[in-house]
Amino acid sequence: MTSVDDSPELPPLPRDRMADFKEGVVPYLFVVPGLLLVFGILGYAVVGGAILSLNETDMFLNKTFVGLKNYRDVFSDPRFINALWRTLLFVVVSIALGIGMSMIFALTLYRVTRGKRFFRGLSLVPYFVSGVATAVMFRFIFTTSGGFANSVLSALGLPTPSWLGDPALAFMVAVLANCWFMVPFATLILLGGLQTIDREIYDSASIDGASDFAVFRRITLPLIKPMMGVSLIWVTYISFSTFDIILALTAGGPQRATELLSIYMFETAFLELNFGAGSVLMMVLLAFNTALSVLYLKVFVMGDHRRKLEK
Amino acid sequence: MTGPSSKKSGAGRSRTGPVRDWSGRFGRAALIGIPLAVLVVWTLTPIVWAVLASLKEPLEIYESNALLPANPTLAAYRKVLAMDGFGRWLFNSALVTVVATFVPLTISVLAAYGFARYAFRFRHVLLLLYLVPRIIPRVSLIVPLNSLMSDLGLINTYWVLFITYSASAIPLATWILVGFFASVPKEIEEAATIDGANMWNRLRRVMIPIAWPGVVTAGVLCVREAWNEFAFVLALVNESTMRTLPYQLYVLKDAMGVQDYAVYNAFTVLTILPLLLVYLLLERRVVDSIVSGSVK
Amino acid sequence: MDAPFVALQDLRKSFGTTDVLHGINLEIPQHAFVVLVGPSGCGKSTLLRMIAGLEKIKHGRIVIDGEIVNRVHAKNRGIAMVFQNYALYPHMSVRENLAFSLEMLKTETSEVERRIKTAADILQLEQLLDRLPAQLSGGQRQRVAMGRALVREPKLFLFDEPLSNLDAKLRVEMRAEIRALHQRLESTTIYVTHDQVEAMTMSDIVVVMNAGRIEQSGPPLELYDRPATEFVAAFMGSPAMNLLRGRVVRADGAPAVDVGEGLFLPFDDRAGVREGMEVVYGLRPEHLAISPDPASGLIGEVALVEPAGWETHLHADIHGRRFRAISTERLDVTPGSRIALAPDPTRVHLFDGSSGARL
Repeated sequence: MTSVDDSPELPPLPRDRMADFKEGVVPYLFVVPGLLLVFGILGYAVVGGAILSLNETDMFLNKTFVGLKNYRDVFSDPRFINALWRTLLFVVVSIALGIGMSMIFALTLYRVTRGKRFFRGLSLVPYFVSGVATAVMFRFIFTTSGGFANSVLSALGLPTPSWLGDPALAFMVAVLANCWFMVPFATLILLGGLQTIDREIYDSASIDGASDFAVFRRITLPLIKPMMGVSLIWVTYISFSTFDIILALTAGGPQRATELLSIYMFETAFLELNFGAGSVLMMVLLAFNTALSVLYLKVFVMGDHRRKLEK
Repeated sequence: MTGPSSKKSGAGRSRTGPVRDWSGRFGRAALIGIPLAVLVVWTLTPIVWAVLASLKEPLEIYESNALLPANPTLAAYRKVLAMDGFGRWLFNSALVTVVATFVPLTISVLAAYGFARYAFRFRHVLLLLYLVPRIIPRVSLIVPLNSLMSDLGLINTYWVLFITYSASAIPLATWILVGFFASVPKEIEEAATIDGANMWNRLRRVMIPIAWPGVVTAGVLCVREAWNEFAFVLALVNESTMRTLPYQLYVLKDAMGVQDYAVYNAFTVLTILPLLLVYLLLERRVVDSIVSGSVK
Repeated sequence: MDAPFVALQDLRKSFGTTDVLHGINLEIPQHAFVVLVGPSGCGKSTLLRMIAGLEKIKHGRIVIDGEIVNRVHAKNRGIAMVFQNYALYPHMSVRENLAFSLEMLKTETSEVERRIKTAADILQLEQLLDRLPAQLSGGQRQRVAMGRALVREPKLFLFDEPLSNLDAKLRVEMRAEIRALHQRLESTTIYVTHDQVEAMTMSDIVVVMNAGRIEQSGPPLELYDRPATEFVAAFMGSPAMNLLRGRVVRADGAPAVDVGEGLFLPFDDRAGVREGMEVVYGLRPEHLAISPDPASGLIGEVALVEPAGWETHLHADIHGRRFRAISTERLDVTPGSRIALAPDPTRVHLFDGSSGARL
């Protein structure tokens, strides 16, 4: 057994072309089929929507190129301004309420000692209820006569408002239904964040004499910031494109108080059969989501997916 | 409003006398108990109310403010099951759910394995392409999809639902599975390679069983998306025989003159029940996956 | 000598632009227990993975048992490998873990049973066969990993830092066990570790690697007694050899190395060493004799005393230079004590100041 210092010149082995080929092609065989399906459908839809938004369609769906006319029409329509404004308000109120509730629920679930698994499992149930069913259930809670809310209020001798007939109240009911559906997932994401915090940090902080509130503000919040971001983004997405809940709950009414962009888009395209204008609204929704996503990718996903692959 | 440390109770006890200790313990119990009660009530009220309403007699809701049904009856469920077409809607929902779970799951398992295990040239770019669709809300696509599918003559077919449901389920499923596959130590697969397992055997006998919680999670989420899907079916189907349960639930609102609340609620309960059963069965894995941050 | 059982010829490897191996040549006789040792990043694991067939070979050749295996698939190379983290299949019982490779090779059931039984006997796994890896202790997992290699009846065993996840006591036990197993089976073994104690105690042949090259290979005591390079001298042995940079001079007619601060360290004259050369002076701690008599050597001040039981390790400063010394006597010294240290000039190692090669 020796180690030879002067390496003998070896004739190079011919390249194994079959192996090279397999190595080059195999990974693509795995990943490309899905991509084709996803982009064949969803990618086409985006491109198709962009094209549609530049055309006018008649009853028989014949297209005529009209340039940016649809955009001018939509952007100058007071109904659009209303929908835009309602959507932004809906998103902001949903975020405030949704994240607040998620945070409280997550902290609660984190501290529960008995039946933790049960309560965790229970808390996710609304995530599995369809938007339409959520809307229907909330309608029956808030119907004027025979609804749960008014039954309770009248039993207490309180006034029984017409929840879904009043624009402001209906808007709040829509926000509540939306939160009911989206809070569970955000809660569990935040709970996950809380559970990754090493308990020794809390011990050390309490030895340092930090108050409960100080611990929450100075330790818990900064440490769950990434998870906070994820749930924030999620809540924003969901609220921005809420559709089934609103359509089945209020269909945009009363007096367009809950007519969000998605509802407006649906009605424009499928009830008024104005596909051009509908596509313009689709592009508006996409633009908002893309802007959000650039933020999302920058802050969370890039690092995350690199970490995933480089494990 | 407090930091979530169970250990702090010890510090509190040593800091204060027995009286403060009692109030402190009481306060802490309330601090958990009250929000927990809110959580339970908030989560269950809509469902419980729907179930209660479904057990009432048709006009009971108008006549009485009582929360509980006076004479609980399953009549509403019988009416729903006897509805013309209910079997068909249930079948439609079940069929598209099964297809739109197995197709995307199969495709996603392969894609995720490719992404997790091979270092190829366009890996990062392609994975990003898989992610892009996740930021596109489904509802935004219904206008051009309707126009495309009309052109293709696919409106009112199962195919249109299979294709669109599957395509929109793939990105999330792939994303979940990439994480699970990548967290399987590389050495285990190398050991299997040396042990003589070919790619198919490594995937089937080693990778999938180890990443099984991820496959289950992705599967349950595919089931959820397909079973609850509404925007696509609304835009791509208009014959009553092609409706799925959520679509029919939506249409129910307009179809009935004087609303039979009990029937309406019974229908709602029946549409959410199958999925809740699936969830109940696999709750542990799904919740664990979400809490561990594998689903985002 | 017979034809080598394993021959590595001019193996090179790079990941991207980083060269990990720069032309490795090595021949391993049959039945040998060879340990590849070196600091992390020296390329030893890459080399092992190339032999196993887990890394592609783009330059050079690997011959196992007379066959060029460059393009032979890992499963057909007649090797078995034990991984650092064991790489047991977590969803399979111990029995299924052992059977997996045989099943892949479509071995007959009776033969599978026989081999599992043999391996279980050797490694005392009978009681564990129906457990899952998660239900085993670290040492038991280690045994299962070895059992999984054993059932394949390989021509060549490969171990990749198999003991690094075990606690100190278990590591010493498993060291002996692996060695005993080798003596019993006599199968050619290549074992990678970063722990020079493992390398010294387990090997027939040690191969010291550094920065993608083989520094030296040979029987462990030969490397210990005659390290070919400064690197090997520093790497092998614990506590490590004293190494000081200096210049060869004549002090009172006797050869010595001037390491500065007025400190001259003596050595026995040897060929190739001339006055004025820049060298590295090396002396193992056990060759720096401690004497209680201050007149008999260099005067040092004790900085640190590490009693290790039957021997005592001392750190002492001589003219401001830190030295390590070992004494098997119980010394009555404390930090600050002044003691005399006498280097044994016949045991001095000298290395070229620039190339690090032994002089």
